[in-house]
This record gives sequence, C-alpha cells and structure tokens, in this order.
Amino acid sequence: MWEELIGQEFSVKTLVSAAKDAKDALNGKPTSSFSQAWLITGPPGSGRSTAAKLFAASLQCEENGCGNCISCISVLKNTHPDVKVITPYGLSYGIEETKNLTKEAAMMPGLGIWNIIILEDADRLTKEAGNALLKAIEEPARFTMWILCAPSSKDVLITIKSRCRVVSLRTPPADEIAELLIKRDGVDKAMAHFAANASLGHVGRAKLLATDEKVRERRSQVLQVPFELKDLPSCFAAAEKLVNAAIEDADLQTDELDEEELDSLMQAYGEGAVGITKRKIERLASGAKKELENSQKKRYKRITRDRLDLSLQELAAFYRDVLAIQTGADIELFHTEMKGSIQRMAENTSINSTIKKIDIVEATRRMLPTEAAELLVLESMTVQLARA
Amino acid sequence: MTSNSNIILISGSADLLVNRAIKKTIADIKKVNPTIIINEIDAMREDSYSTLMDAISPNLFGDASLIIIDRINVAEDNLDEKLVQTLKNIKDHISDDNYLIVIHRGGAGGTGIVKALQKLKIEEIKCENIKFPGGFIDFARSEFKLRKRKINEDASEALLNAIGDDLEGLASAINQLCFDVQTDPIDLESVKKYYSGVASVQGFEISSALWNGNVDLALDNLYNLFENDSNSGVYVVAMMGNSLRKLVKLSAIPASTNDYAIAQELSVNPASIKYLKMQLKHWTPTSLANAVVELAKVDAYMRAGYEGVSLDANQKRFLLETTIRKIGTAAR
Ligand SMILES: [Zn+2]
Repeated sequence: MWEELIGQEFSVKTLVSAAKDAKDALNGKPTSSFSQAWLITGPPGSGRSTAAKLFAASLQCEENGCGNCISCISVLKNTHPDVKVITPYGLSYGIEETKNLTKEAAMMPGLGIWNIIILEDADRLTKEAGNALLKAIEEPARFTMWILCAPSSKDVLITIKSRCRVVSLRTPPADEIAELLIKRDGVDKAMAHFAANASLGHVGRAKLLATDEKVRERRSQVLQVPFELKDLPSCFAAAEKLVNAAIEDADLQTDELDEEELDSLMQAYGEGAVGITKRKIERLASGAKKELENSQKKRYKRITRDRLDLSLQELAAFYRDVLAIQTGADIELFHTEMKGSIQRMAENTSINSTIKKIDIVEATRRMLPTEAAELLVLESMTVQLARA
Repeated sequence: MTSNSNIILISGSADLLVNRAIKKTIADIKKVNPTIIINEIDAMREDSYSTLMDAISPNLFGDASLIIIDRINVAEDNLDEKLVQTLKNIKDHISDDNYLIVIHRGGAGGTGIVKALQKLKIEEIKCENIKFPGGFIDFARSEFKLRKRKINEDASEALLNAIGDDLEGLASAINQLCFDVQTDPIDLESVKKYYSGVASVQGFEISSALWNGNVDLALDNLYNLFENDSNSGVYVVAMMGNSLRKLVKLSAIPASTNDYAIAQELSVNPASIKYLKMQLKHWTPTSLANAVVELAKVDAYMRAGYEGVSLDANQKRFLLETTIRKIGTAAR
C-alpha cells in the first residue's frame, strides 16, 4: 500500500509504527510515539496528501494498513465515513470553517477506530482560524486524530506546530519518480526520465509532463522567458505570458473537476430520477449551485497561483542550471534538454548576475502567497531579471 | 408590413437593450390598441403552456391580447414540450388581432423555436451586443445624444473608468448625470464630484496625474481619496499599474501606427491615445521599469503589511505617497 509514496522510507517507517502505537495507546499500553496530532510536511508534490491518506488507512485498519480490507480500501477511495479530508479552497482558511471543523472533530467515530481529520494545506490557516483550532488539537476527544499537511513546518502557525508531531517528507529523487511513471502509468523510459527530472520532484507534475503534450509545451514556453527579456515591452510581454500559462494549466486542471462536481450535485438533487423535470431540479439546486460555483472559483484562483509558483520554480531551476555550469559543479541539470542554451547563457553572463537572478525569482515566489496582484509582481520580476 | 407582423421576436444577450426593445414594442402596440390586455409569461415556469393557452383563447369581451413569452433561450429540453411545439406552430393557434412577443435572451438554446418563427416571416428585432470598451463609448455617446446633452472627452473616459464593464450601470449613471448636472457639456469636474465616493474615479485621477508627471496633483487626489475611503490603496495601485502597462505597450508600437490601430491594441478609447502619447513623453524606459518595481513593492505592503505587521490607513497613505514621489521624481 505504501509503494505510491516514493523515496520516503524513513517517514514511512515512522508512520507505520505510529499507527501501531496508536492502537496500543487505545488499549492502555504505554507507547513512545503516541500523538493525536500529526503534521506532515514536504515540498509540493512530495506526496503529503498521499502520506496522510495512507497513515489514516493504517490507523483505521485492524492490521495497521493491510491495503486490502474494506476499511483500507474505503479510506484510499475517500469514502470512509470517519476520515474527513478538508482542503481549504480559499487562499487562506477562515474562522467560520474552522469552527465547523472543531465541531466535527468532537464526534465519535461511527465505523472506524478513529475519527480522523486530515487538514490539507494547514499553512493556509489564518491566525484567527489557527487559534480557534488550537484547543481542539491540544485536547482532542478520545478517539479523534488530527493529520495536518503543509509545505514546511515554518509555514504553520507556531502555536499549532508545537502541538503536533512532525513528519517531514523529502523531495523524491528523480529516478524513483521515473520508475513510478514507468510502472504505474506505463510511460516509456526516455519520457519518464525527462518528466521526472523536469518535474523538480513534483510527482503529480511529473505525470502531467509525461502524459500531456500541452503541459510540456507550456513548460518550454516558460523556460524561454530568460531569453526574451530584451527591453521593457518584452519584459511585460513575458510576465503576461507567465500568467497566461498558469491560467491555461489551471483551466485544464479544473474544467473537468468542475463539471464532475456539478454533475454529482445535480444528481443529488434528483437529476436522472423518474418523475422530476429538469426545470424543477434547476430551481431546487440553484442555491447549492451558486455555493459550488463560489468554491470552484476560489479553488481556481488557488490552482492558478500554485501553477504560477511552479513556473517560478522552473525559472529558478533554470538559473541554478546556469550557475552549475558557471561554477563547474558536477551535477545533473534540471533542464537537461536545454543544455545548449543554458551553456550559452552561462558563458554570456556572470556568476554574480546569476545569483542575483535566483534571488529575484525566490523573492517573487515569497510575494505571491500574499494575494498580491500577480501580473504586477511578475512584471516587477522580469524587469529586475533583465537588469541583473 | 410583413404578413405576420402581430408576432414579434426580440433577441439579444444584453438585457438592458432587450428590455428597452420590449418596452418600445409594447408602447407601439398600445398606441394602436389602447385597451389591449397584456400577459407576461416566463417560458421557464411550469405552467407556461397552460397560461399561454388561456391567453390565446378568445376572452369574454372580445378584447385583444398581447402575450409576451420571455426566456425561450433556455435549452429546449428544459422547456415544456407542448409549449415548444405550440410556439413553433404559433400561426395555427393565434388569431390576427392578438399580439405575441417572443423574447430570446442570447445563447444557443431555443434556436429551434427561433428558426420556426423566422420561417413565418414575422417581425424580428435583433439587439446587437455591445463590447467593452469600444461599444460602451459609442453607447454612452448615443445615450447623451438621446438626452440632447454633450459630455467632454475626459469626463466621458472618467465615467467609463468608474463604471467599468456594466452596461446597465452606465445607462443609469448617464441618466442620473444628465438629470443632476446643469453645465453643458458635462465636464470632468462634474463627473468627479458626482462620483467622489467612488474610488475608481479618484484612483484614475491619481494615476493620470502621476503619469502626467504632476506629482503634486496626484498627492492632492490621494489625500482626498483617503479622506473618503481609506481602504482603496490597493485599488489606486491597480489603476497606476494599468496605466503603466498601457504606456509600456504604447512605447513598443511604431510611431507611424494610426491611433485607431493603437487603440485596438491597447483596448482603450481611440480618443485617449493622444493623451497616452503625451504621458509617455514624461518617461524613459528606465523610469518606467523602476516604477513597476516600486508599484509591486507597495502593492505587497498594502496587502500583506510591512515586514509582517499590517498597516493602518495613515501608514498606507504614507507608503503610497512615498511611492508616488519616488516614481514622480523621474518624470521629465
Ligand atoms: Zn486494512
């Protein structure tokens, strides 16, 4: 069951034994690693959500995660009634939502051993929301288990973090990602290797790169940016291009999801059932539909922001490649397929300027989660890059 | 006069225009038939078919009916099948002294009904959609003309900037302005006074003063804005960023290009190209590049605070002031 979580042997060991200890603790045996609040950290794409889900399955399973019993299967399929996955769709998670969450957290499990709440992206909690959550995490109901996820523990409110046991995932190595793509998705060897390398350790991204030509196309568009910054108008055009690429990727990711969600909403209101007209359903469902559309809009915004961050990571990796060549470091490039043009840029620019450029891109990444105006921030970045 | 002129199809996706066409059509019919009975039917309603049949059938006193069927543009299978069939063959159901107005509010739905009606050679009124911003400018012009009023170019632009992509908002704003403002032509001062609470107009004012190289005026406007609305800092930055973007784009367009082509490229009013060209003279690529970096910085401060501490209105104004001064000193 754990093979999907690649390159995380150490964390897997921790989580597997934690699941055992949790059961012992319920039976009154003294244990060393028992905790009812966990924080799983790791860079985007390293498998935080997967780890959380597998951990939840292990906690609920009589055999600590066999992967085959009804309990395990339903957790993995997101249908277990006692495992709630909360994904804050807004850019940050507010106090109202948190209050509801604490109510849910106080409930007894129905079928499972634990009432498990997985809170993805705990870094998006607002300070107020975090404080509202604090008590529930500090003094959880007897059968409640919290699993929080975040990119890094320093992104999580310190009050929350100090109440959790932290499990850190690392960036999975490229060859292990490639192997997964070959085995699980049937990707051919060369493509798997390219995608794994180009994904910067982001497993989901690697799959998209390996399987969707448009995603590859947009990536190479993004990586043209360093060569396009010739004057002020071209800097502005490049910034616009970056924003548009993020929007197109987000469209691709959300369109299908949006439709599926709408379908299942309409079904819930009786679509396809006998004796009810479409008009009636439309009317009945209109309130819920609006709410769904709202949350979809928020998610869209967030995914766009995430894609933009990914483009910036790719740019930063590009300049790191340039730096690697300039300093003669003997490491594999992130963007091996661009080796020629990277080489040329390395020859025509100074080490100092490359370091400055990496700093500029990283500083821009830090500005994005503040709900800043994307286009303006990126224009500022391209202008600075052109000068560095 | 066409053969079936008692049946009228009104179509278009801009509600404002469609509603106006409906109003006018009703008024025209009433001129000829003052006692006509009006029945309005929403095609989406479950009882739409029976209501239609009631309305069509001859009434006790022999009065003529005007039946208005709205929203036939929803997907046909969402409508009552009997209603759809009746509408498609409406000639067999309606007598010549009754009137029928069928309304299609845009989109791909209901085309079956539309086509069937068109075959009957009925009256058809098409309301062309209006595109932002070009069409809005023309629309505003004709609205003022309709009321026998004039408005100055800069005032009209400020108005459009304040209202944005909202045709009904624009129409009602024009109505109000013509009613309240006595000076003719209506000038920028009046529009500003009228919308003094609206951050966008003042944001626009601040932005254009800055890019005109008039820092003092920009700061005066900034001060006024914060008096009225201390939460609009982000908005002001967005306005300045928008104009800056246009200036940068303009700088890349060959000087020989005509104003209309430029206007298309920048999606602005052709009349404002002259204005933008004047603004551009104040700036070098370097000063504009510095400006965008400053704007992005101050935008982040407005939203996320300064070094983790969120800012109050005074601090925000101070930061904006500093930014405007910094950008402004580079103006030629
Ligand atoms: Zn199991």
